Amino acid sequence: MRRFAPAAIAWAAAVTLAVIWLATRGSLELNAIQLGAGIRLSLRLDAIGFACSLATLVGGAGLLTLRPGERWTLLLALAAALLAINSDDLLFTAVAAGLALLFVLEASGGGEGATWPLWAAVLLAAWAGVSLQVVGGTAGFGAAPPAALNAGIAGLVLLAAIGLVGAVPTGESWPPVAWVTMPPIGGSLLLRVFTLGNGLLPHAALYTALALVGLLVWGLAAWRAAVAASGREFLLQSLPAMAGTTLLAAASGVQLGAVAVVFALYATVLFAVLVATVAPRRRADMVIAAAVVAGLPPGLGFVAWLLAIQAQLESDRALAWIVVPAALAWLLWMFAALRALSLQPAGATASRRLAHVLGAISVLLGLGAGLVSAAIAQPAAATAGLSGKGPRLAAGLAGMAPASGGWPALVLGGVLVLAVVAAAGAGSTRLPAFSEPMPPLLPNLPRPRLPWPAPGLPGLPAAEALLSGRRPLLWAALIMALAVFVTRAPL
Amino acid sequence: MTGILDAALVLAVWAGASAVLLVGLRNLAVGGAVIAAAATAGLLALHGAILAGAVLGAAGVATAFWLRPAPGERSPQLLPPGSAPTITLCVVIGALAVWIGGSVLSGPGGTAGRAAALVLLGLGAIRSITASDPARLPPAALLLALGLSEVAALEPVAISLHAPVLGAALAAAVAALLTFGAAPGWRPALRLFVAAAVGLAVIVAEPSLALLGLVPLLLAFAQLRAGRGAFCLRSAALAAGLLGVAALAAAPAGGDRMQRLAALATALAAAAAAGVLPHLMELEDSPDARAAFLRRALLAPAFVLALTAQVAATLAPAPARIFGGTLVAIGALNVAAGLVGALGADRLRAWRAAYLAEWGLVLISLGLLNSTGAAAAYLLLLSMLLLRLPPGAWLAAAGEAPRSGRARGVLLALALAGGPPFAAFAARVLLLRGATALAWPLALGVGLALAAWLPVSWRLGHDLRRPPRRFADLAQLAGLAATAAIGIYPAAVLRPVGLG
Repeated sequence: MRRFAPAAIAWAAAVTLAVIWLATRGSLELNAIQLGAGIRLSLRLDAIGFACSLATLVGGAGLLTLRPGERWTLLLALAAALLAINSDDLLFTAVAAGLALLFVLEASGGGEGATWPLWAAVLLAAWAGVSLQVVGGTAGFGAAPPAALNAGIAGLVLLAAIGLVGAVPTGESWPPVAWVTMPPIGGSLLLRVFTLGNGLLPHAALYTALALVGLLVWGLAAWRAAVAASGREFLLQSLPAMAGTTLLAAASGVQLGAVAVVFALYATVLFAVLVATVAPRRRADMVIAAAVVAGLPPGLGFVAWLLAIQAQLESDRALAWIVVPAALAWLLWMFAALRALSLQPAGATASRRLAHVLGAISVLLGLGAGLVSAAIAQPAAATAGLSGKGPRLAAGLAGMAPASGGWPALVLGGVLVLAVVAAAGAGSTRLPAFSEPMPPLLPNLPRPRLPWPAPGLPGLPAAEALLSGRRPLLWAALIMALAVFVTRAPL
Repeated sequence: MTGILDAALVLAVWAGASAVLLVGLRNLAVGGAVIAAAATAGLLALHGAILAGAVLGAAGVATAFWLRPAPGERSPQLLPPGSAPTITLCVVIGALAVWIGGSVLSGPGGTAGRAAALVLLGLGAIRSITASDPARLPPAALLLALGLSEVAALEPVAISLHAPVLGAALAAAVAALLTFGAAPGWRPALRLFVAAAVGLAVIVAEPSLALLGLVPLLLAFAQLRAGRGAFCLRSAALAAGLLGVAALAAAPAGGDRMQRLAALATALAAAAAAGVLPHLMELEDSPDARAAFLRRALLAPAFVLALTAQVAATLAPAPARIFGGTLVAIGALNVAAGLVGALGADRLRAWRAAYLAEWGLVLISLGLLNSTGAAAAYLLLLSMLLLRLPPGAWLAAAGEAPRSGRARGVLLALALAGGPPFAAFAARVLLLRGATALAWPLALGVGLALAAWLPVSWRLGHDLRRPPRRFADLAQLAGLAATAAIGIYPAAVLRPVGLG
């Protein structure tokens, strides 16, 4: 019982969230309480909050269910993440994100070095919050005047979001707990920065920079995946790849981009649970896992990647040519998935049905993309002030119909699913095996490593002795020089 | 006639003070101190401060006699080898004192009073800083105290209570309990704690810059008498000397340049009193030396806040900006040096380096010279007193390895790094806001430094997790709980002191 209690609590929280959202539809607010130091506790469950909270709660609940060995502090991390996501004040978002980081570090039992960028992201968010207070008088998402969001502050928020979604060089080394907790906070920041700017970023260069960073992160992840030495290494790269996609989607600044951000968040969380729980030791499991993270239709990953690329075409602020390298990155990613199947299976054993279950969830979410979009993602885009930006998106049970090309999920995806089911029924599911691993197309990329713990520096004791009065002349000379400067300089 | 008397008394002060520096026989050095005390008292009485002169003279002479050595402790030589540079120094200091007191400084006390004070401050500080023989230090400290007292008698003295200073003093008392509560053999150190308590009372009353300068001197002197070694006095003597100069230069009659000098001297004195760069207090390898460092560290927060309040009360806005700028520069130096130094291998030195870095943030916050910065500094100091100093006690005492306890290590690391929900995070938010409002490049520098805090604190938190002794363990838990409570609702400690 004690083993499954944390998972039950997390699921109950997810259900409660859904019920509250259906009952209030964005009108639930907790009035501000001044905590001091300019930090204001103010919460609001709006569409962005609901979309991102659902991602973190379902992801956390899934992790707790499938990995009962997880520490119960993961629940505290989820709670702190909910506070950060549903905060109505940027500064309090930073506070709660820092709190979530504290619990993530405790729950994960390692990964301090890899998660260091999260700390930087928390500080960046805090700096953005105080800057907003200085310029606009408040850091409230709904209260700050749009003119207060200058390029500097927006840049700080975006940098914080980049760190939080996991688009950092150490991302693949993050513990799974971090991947289900922090990216939704980053995703909410990516959307809320548009809320602050009334649907716009204050400088055109920010769109371009965000898109380029997203593309770079996706491309690097695809490159690393293409030269991976094992199936697990390939799967791990799916997380920064999807983080890059999240940034690329947000950079479009249109309704479809915001919808793609939500799908990318859900895909990130699904991938995180999959990477944490599915062991690529069995060949069938590896095939399913590779298909899910490769973004094969009609999976969730496919929807996220497709919409992120389509959003670039629908935006008048994004660079249209970015579609070409993005498509190339996706192709490289597909090749990496194929190559991963040729690698020798390795790793621990896991439940035989886990990969099937997660694969089915991915397909169901992909087939129901239209519904998810209409019920969750489009309201989030509207809250971000992006519903009127770009061509209007039509979505429903049958699928999604963006102006740049429709995705009839239920029709086309359904046919694909039926084909797979028919093939399985005909008994032709025996998987072809590679005789030897496919060689990597690209050279290996060096990995940046943060020195953790940092090495000591020589010569410090001598410097300390020099400055502690054993050479009084040094003190005297310093004081005299400063005195002359201060009294003579035209200050 | 008065002029001749003035000159004679200044000469007597100089001769007595020079004797303290020069002669190897300690009885003669004490005799020099007696002459200096008497002459100083005479000068004060001659210029109308009869009561102050009488009190100072009596106290000075009595202290000088109290410091006389036992018969077996006399040095063998009258003028030890290598005294020539000291003689030259005495002459130069005397001439400089007369020139500065007469031509550069102006204000109360007249030329003679200021010159005598500068002689006492200069020679007393130099001897206190340079002497390696502890037997020579008490008369030197007495000279310094005489100089400060004379300056205090010349400048207006007013009791003024500032709520943040009082708050820091209360926190220091709690921190003293957490830090030394389980220290073995507290009785021998009772004198030190009494000295610290008297010092704390003076700090809270904030009478004047010169009297504040007596506080580190008093504590260092008590530590010296308790046989803690010459290192105790160096940075304290420097702080005292600088504050004496600052008090003389702060007089409005001295003009803008002298007030700038006062601002600079006060800022440097604040750094010296806290024992941070550019005037480090040594952390020698004996447990006594480490305990002395901790006692100074407990008093320093209230002291620096009191100095800041005095600057705001005495200096014009333009020179006050020099004070702020100097604090920011010193703070940046300490942050950089502390973060680099904390990467060292030795646990105790890493702890001390992190202490320097934290003080750097405090000084930067105070240097902003606005209420946001003051609130940030106040929270940082509370956090330092309650969380950073108590672990120093068991590190300093024996350096025993901590027990296991990963969760505690994580909590401690985040608390020391200034992560939420601990008090240091609220302080960092305030500091960032203050720096952003002043100049964004400053905020950028602060932000980069704050990002570097986590790896440093992670290592420190790992080294300090779960102390081996029960009291230290409880003290650490209490510190964590208190700083977490303050961090969650910082208004609870900011509003009562008018900073919320």
